[in-house]
Amino acid sequence: MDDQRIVALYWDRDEAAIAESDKKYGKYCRYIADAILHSDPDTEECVNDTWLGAWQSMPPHRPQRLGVYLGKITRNLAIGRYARDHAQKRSAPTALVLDEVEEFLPAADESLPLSEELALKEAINRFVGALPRQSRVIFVRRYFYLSPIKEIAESLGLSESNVKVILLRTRSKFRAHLEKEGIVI
Amino acid sequence: MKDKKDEKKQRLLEAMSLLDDRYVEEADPTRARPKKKLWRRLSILAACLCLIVTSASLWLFLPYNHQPPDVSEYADSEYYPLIQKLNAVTYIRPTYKNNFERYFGRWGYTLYPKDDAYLNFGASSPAGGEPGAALPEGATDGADSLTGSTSEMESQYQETTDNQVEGVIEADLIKRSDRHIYYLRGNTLSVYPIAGAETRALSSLTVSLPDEMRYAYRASEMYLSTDCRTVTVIASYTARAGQTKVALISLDVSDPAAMVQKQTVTLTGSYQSSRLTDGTLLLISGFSVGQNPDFSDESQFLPQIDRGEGAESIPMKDIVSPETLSTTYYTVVSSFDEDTLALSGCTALLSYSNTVYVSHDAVYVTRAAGLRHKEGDLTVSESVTEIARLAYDGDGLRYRGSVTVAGYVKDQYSLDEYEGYLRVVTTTDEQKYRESVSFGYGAAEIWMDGGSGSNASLYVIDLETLTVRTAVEAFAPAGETVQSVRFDGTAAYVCTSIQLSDPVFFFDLSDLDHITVKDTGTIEGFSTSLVNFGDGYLLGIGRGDGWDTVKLEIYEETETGVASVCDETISRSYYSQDYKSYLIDRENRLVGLGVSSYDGSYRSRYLLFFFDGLTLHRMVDCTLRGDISTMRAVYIDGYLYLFSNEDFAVQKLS
Repeated sequence: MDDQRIVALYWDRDEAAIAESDKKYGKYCRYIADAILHSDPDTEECVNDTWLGAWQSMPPHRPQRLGVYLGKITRNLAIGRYARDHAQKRSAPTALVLDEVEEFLPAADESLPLSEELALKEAINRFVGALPRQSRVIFVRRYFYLSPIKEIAESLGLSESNVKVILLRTRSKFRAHLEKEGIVI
Repeated sequence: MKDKKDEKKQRLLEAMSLLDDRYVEEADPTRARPKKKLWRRLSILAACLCLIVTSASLWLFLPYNHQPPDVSEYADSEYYPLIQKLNAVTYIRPTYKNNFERYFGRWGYTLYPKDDAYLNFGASSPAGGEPGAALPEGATDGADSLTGSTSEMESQYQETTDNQVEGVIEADLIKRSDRHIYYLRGNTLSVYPIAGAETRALSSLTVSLPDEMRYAYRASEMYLSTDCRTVTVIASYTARAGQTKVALISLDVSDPAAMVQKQTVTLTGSYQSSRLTDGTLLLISGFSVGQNPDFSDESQFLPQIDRGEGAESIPMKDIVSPETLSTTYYTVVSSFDEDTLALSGCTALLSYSNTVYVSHDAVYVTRAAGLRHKEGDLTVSESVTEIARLAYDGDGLRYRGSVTVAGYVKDQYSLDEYEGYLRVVTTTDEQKYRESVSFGYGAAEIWMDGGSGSNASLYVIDLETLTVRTAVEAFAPAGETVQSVRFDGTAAYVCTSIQLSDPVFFFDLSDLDHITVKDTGTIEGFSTSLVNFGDGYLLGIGRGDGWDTVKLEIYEETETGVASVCDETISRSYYSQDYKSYLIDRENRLVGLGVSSYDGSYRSRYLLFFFDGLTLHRMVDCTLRGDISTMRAVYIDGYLYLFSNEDFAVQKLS
């Protein structure tokens, strides 16, 4: 079932929308949740919360790309659950990604105000949009999907060391980009 | 601080959710990308394999070019028919069909196509000695005359060479007048006044060859004109460009003390032989066309003559060639005026060998070839000789046709023209064998069966019709080959041999319809030269009962056969088979030759024998340094004058 028809089900308050969403994007949302939570029960729960979040957000939203919309809901829920439920006990893979993300942080005084979300969004998209496709896919896979480096390498036919080098260079460029944009977090 | 940093990291990670949907969708990890990558790799690998296999196949099985190059661009040339023939013969075709056959032939076999005629040439070495050498010790260079006037104004020519045909002079290292002896050491001519024991070299002159000479690889020969005023030297040399050439150099020797070089004519090719008759110098040279010649350069496929005004190619009308070439070797017969070296005629015979016989009015050039035919399951192979006749006179040379006989000739003495007939003695060599192919090591194997045999035959050819008038075939014991021949009017002497024994045959050719033959029976040794020694005696020079034994033997005809009168052997010695190195003095019944003897070390010496009608007596046995093939001797008024490329001596005879 195409995305428009599924969204129409949500708008029609037809519970078949959940089933269809799960059927089409369940695997996708589970992948995102599991990459952050690394726990089957937590992943299932997060995906179920995703359908609830979708049911509650449509209407009024009518997303063009339903899969990404649902995936972002799942991602945010997963990150929130991770931060809440794993404050003491960190998932190693996710912690690893967080450590990498630290490299994005521009050198800034903590006393400065937080960036506006819009400015940050634009800065991120300008940077990612300017990347070569392969570097962009690797960057998004790593820092959006939190995919393991090995998996990224296998899916793209590259070596792990190659992927690491690309990520290292991209992080460095991203930091410089944020500093240049005057983005502080 | 640490919590704030963690919070920031988390906020940034959350901020990644702000990524544009298209970038998120682009990187969807659940899409089936790996298969696409794998197929791509497999496709690339398959394409590479196909390329490798195709390249390998092309390299292995692409056929070699077996066609000669296209020569149609020379269609306007007068030599085009000749170029086409040469192109087909000089093009070296690949041995294999392709690389697979070349490198993996052991796993298969290949039978190469057989031609109906195959090459069977035996090039005899032209006479000659060593390259130019210094004068021997004791010789002087200068006007140190002991006999008064050195001029040849009043001299008379004296023949020193035992010419095959009387009146047809052959070039040699030694010539003389009644006053002087001329000897050629390489390219240096020395003159000796005849003065008995006091003889010393009067003067010498090293002929100057063209500047392009790189080195003279064969010795020279010469003629002395009948007025004793001109010496014509014939020299072979290699030009700097690597091309072999023949030079005719005329020297003014009217004043032997002050010899002067006059003029030079050069021809491309190698010197084979020459004759001088009635003021006409006939030069026989050979010119070989190399592989894959450049037909835009005439010097690569045509003999050329340079008379000092640039090289000129022989015109097409003067080239005689068979329909099918079996070789790319020219035999060039040129005629020059002895005094002026002006060219009066030239004929080039393509595919002819260098065995030449010259009579009073014709030049005969032979070509040996092999023929094969089938007899049941046997293949019969035999040699044949084609003899071409060129008439010469004051108007030049004219090709008169050819005739073919079975077998091959030994040398120029195997032919003789007499009263309208050409007599020829050949060795016939019919072989029968059966061909088979076995895989063995992958190559074709041919094994012989059916036997083979050689023999000797004599043919009499009518020169009017160039057909065989009569023949005596296979007159020798089976397996024998011709070692020497000598014609003398209506008589012919032939020595054949197998290993180290020979019979000598005497033919009476006075009645061609009833040719009779007698022989000596089998005797030890064999003669490589047979010489008419006068008074009915025949002299044989050759080997004795061992390969290192020299034997001289005198024969005479008897009622029932040919008998040996006497012989003389020289053991542990070798002799020269150059007939010009023998002293044959019929008037004084002297025979001399140089030998190389081994007695702990090799020593060259000269031997002179006197035949008193019953026995050969050794008159002289003296050391003479040098190459035995360059040794020459002249007997004058009780003195024997001895020359070699390294030495000179005078022996007084009692």
